[in-house]
Amino acid sequence: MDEENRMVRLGMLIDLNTCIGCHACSVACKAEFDVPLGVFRDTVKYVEDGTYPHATRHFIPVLCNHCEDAPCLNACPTGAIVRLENGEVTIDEGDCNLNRFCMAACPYGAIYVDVEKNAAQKCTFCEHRTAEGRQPACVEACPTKCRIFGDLDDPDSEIARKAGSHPVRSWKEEKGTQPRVLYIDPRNALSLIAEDGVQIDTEADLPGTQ
Amino acid sequence: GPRFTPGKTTGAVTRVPSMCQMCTTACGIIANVREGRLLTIEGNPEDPNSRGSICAKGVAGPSVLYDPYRLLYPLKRVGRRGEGRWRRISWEEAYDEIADRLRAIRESGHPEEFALQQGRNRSKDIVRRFLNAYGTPSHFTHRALCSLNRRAAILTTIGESDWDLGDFENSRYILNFGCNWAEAHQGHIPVATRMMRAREHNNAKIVTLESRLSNTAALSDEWFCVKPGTDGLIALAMSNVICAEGLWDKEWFDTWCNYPADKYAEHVRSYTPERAEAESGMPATAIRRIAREFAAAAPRCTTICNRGSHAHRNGFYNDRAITVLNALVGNMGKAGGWCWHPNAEWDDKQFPEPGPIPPKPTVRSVIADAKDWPLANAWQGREMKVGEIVYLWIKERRQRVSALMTYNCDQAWAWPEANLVRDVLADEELIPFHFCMDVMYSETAHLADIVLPWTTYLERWDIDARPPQGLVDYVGLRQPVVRPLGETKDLREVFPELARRIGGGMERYFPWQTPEEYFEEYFRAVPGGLSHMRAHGAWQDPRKRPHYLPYERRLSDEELAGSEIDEPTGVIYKGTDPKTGERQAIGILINGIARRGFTTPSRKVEVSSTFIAVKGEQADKRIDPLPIYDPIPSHSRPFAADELIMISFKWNVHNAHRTGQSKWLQEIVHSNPAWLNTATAAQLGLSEGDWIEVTSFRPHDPHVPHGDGSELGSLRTRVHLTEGVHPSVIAISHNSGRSHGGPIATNGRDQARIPAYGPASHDAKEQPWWAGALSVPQNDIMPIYPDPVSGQQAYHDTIVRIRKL
Repeated sequence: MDEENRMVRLGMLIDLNTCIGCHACSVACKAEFDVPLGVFRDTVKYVEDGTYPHATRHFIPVLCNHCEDAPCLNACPTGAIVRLENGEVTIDEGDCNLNRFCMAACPYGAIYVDVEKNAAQKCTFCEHRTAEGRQPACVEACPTKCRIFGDLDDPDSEIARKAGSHPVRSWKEEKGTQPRVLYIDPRNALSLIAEDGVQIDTEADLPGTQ
Repeated sequence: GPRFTPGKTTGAVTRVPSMCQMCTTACGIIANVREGRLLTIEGNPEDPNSRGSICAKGVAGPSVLYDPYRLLYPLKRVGRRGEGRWRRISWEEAYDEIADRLRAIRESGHPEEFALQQGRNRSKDIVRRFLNAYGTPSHFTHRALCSLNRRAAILTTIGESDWDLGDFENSRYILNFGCNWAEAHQGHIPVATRMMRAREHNNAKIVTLESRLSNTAALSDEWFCVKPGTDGLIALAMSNVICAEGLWDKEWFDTWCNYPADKYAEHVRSYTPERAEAESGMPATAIRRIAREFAAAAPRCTTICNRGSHAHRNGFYNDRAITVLNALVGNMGKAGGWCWHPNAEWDDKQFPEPGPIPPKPTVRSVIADAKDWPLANAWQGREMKVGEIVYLWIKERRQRVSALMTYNCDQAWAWPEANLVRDVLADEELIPFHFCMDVMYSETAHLADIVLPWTTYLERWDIDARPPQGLVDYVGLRQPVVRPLGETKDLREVFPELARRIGGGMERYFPWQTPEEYFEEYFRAVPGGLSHMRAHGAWQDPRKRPHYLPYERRLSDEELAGSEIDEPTGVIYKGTDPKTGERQAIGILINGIARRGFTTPSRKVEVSSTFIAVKGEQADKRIDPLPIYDPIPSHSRPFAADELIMISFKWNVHNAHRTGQSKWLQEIVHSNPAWLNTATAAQLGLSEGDWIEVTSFRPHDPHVPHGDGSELGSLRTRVHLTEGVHPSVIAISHNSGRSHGGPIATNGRDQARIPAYGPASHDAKEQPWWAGALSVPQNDIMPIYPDPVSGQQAYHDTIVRIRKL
C-alpha cells in the first residue's frame, strides 16, 4: 500500500507521568459539546493508594477507548454505531433508538443518554476537529501535554514514536477489546481504578442535612 | 458523512487573545467566538508565562460568563439590610445615590471614612487612581489572608523582590515546603508545566513536605507528611546537616551574605534532625538524606514554598529559614536555582501609567496602617495591610467607616470569623452605606444597599502580567472577547463616571473618553501599540535577558561617578532615595570590584536583618534578626484524643467565590467533608461518612487579638477517612459552604430569584444534580489569627475538638 492511500489508525496516548489531575481535559470536553450535567465523555479518575505515611494518589484520564473490537458496535441492533475510515467509533444519532444495548456492552461506561437528543452519546475523538486538522479538545486543553493524539500506524508520528519507546498498556486489557487509548502507566494505576467507568457516580455524594 | 452533532468549534471561528482571571495567575487565553457568542477558551501560546497552557478553571470561563445566576442589572435593597428583598434600578439611580454619599463624605474633610474592600484585583491602576483622586487611604486588601509572610520573608532576605521564581525548568531538584502548585498557587499552571518539563527532560526530583496529600504531594517523587507549622524547623535542621557536613557553598555564602557561614552554622547547631523529627514527624534520617540530595544538586536545585509553610502563626520565620537554605547551597540567581525578578508585573518604567496621576492621600487610615503588626506595611510601595482584622476593628470602632465599597470580594463568606464580618456588614450604624460590585450574587452582596453588576474578565480591559516564571518580564492585555451582557459595566467606566459626579477636582484624573484611548497610551512602548496587543495578547521585549545573577553585575563608570564607598561595609552610595530621603545604596565592593549586589540595606543576602529587628522595636515587639523556629503556642502542649489541628485547603477546580458559580467546576467538586487519618478515626470510633461536630477555639496566645483560648464556634460535617492526612490534623476545604449565589453555587440551597438575574432557565442542563450534597462554611469557625510579627492570617493552626454525632 503506498503512503498516500494508507489508512490511518487514530489513537491517543496518555502519559500518567505528567498528568497533574487538573480536569482541564474534562471541562474542555464539556465546553466543546455542551455535555449535560451529570454525564461525561471524558473525566479524570482519582485513586488513593498505599498507607500512611507512604500514601499517594493517582490521576487517570478516561474516555471512550475507540476499541478495535468494539463491544458497543457489536451490540447495536440498529447499526447506529459505526466505525469511520480512520477507526474512530461514533454513534449515528438518527439511527439510535435508545435501546441501550451499547451502554450495557461497553466495559468502560463510556456511553450515556442525552435526553435532549434522545440518543446515546459518547466521545467522538473530536472528529469535527481532527477533520479540520486540529487536535481533540481534551488534547489541546492539557496543560502538561500528557495526551498525544495521532496515527498509531505512522511510524513518524509523535504518538507512534512515544508508544514505541515506552511500555504502554490499556484499561481493562482482559476484556480483549483492543483499545486505541493507550497509557504510559509506570505506577500501575489503571489496575487500581475501582469505579467502573467514564461516568461518575452521582449518587456518591454525602448528603448535607442530618 | 456521519450524522452526529459536532462540537461547537467547527467551521469559522474568531480567535480573540486575552488574559484569564478565573484565578490570579492571569494566563494568556484565546477566546473562540462566533457571532458575538463565546464558544470555548484555550491557552494563548504567545503568552511567555503560561505558554499556551491553562487549567480547568480557565477552560470553564464560558460557564461563568453565561451563568444563569449572574448579576446583569443594578439592584437597590428594599426592606432591612440582609433581608434579601431587592428592586432593580437604573445605573442613573445607582450613580446618583453613590455619588451623593461619597461626595458628602469627601466634603466633610474625612475622606478616609470611605473604604474599599477588594479581593483579588487585576485592575490595580484604575482602583488606585480612583482612591487616590478621592483622597482615601482606606484601601483594604486580602494580602494578609494570602501571601504576606512569604513576601515579607523574601523582601527581608533579598530586598529586590517579594516573590521567588525557582528556575524549575532548568532544575534537577525541587524541595517543596507546602506549596500546592499542581492545584492552586499564584503561579499555578506556569509553575506546574515547568515542573513536569523538568521531570521529563532533566529527570528532576520533586520532594514535598505537606500536612495533607495534595495533588502536588501525590505528584512528587517523595511526600513527607509533616505536622503543621514545623516547616521552618525542618529547613533549619537541613541547614544544620548542610553546615555540619560541609555540604555548603561556603565561599558564596561568605561573599554574598551579611552573616558569616561559620556563625550561621553555630546558629543552626541546636536545630538537630532529631529535634525536628520530634516536633514535625519527619524522620531524622530522611531530613539528613534530603538535605544531602538537595546540596548535591546545587546550584541546580531550589526550594518552593507557599501557604503550607507560611500561612501560620510562625510563618514569617518558616519562610526566612527556607529562603536562607538556598543561600547555604549558593543557588541564588543561578540557572536551575532559586531565582526572582524585580518586576512583579510589567516593567513600569517602560510602560508608565498614563497621566495625570493623582497624589497619594494625606490622611491616615488606622485599619490600613495596622501598626500593631510591624512587618505588614514595613516596605514602602509594598504595603500589605492586615485584612483579617478589618471588620473586628470596625466593630471595635477603631476607625469610622461611613461608606464601604466591596469589589470582587466575598468577605462575608471567605474571611476568618465570617460570621463576625456578616454581623458588622449587617449593622447600619457601623457601616451606614455599603455598595457591592461583583459578577455574581454573594453572601456579601446580600448585605449591601446597592449591588452593581460587574463585567466578567471576558468583557473588559486590563493591562496585566505576573511575576515572570521565565525570568524575563512581559506585558499582557485583557480585552473584551464579547460585548458585556445585560447592563454590566466595569470599573473603567464606573469610576470615571463617579468621579465626574462627585466632582471637587476628582474628574480631572479621568480625561480619556474610552478604555481604548487609555490603553493606546499605556501600550505605546509596544511596537505596533494597542493593535499588536489586541492581535497577540502579550508582548515581551526581545532585548531582555533572563534575570540571572543580577547581584554580580559590575557597576559602570557612569554609575560610579559621584559615588562614595562606606569603608567598613563596602556599600557604595550615590545620591538620596526620593522616598526615604536617606542616602541611596547602589552597590557593594566585592574583592575590590564594584558590583550591584542585592538591594537590601547591606547590599547582601540578609541572613541577619537589623531592619526587621528595628521595625519590631518600633512596635514593641521582638523580631529575631535571624531565621529561627518559633513554636506555635497552642500546639506545644499534649493534645487530648479529640483535639486536632484544623487546616484548610483549596481544590484544583476552585478559586474563590466566583468558581462556585461555574456549573462545570462545581459539578466536579461541590462538597467538603472533613479529612481524617484512618488511624485517628479508628481511635475516635469514626467510620466513613459519620457526622461530627467540630468546635474551634481561639489561640491561647497573648500576641493575638482576643487570644484567650476561648471557644469560637462549631460546625457539623461528615468525615472522609484517608491515608493522606497527618494523624493530628483535620483538613476541610474552604471552597464550599456558600448560602447565597443561586442553586449551582449553593448545592440547591439558594433558590431565590433576584431581579438582577436574566430570564430563568428551565433547562435541565442548568440544574445541579448535586443539590443537597454536604457543603459547610469552614471560615465561620476559623479564628482571626494574625502572625504577631507580620499580620499574616494563620490558616492551619486552629485547635478544634471533634465529637461524633
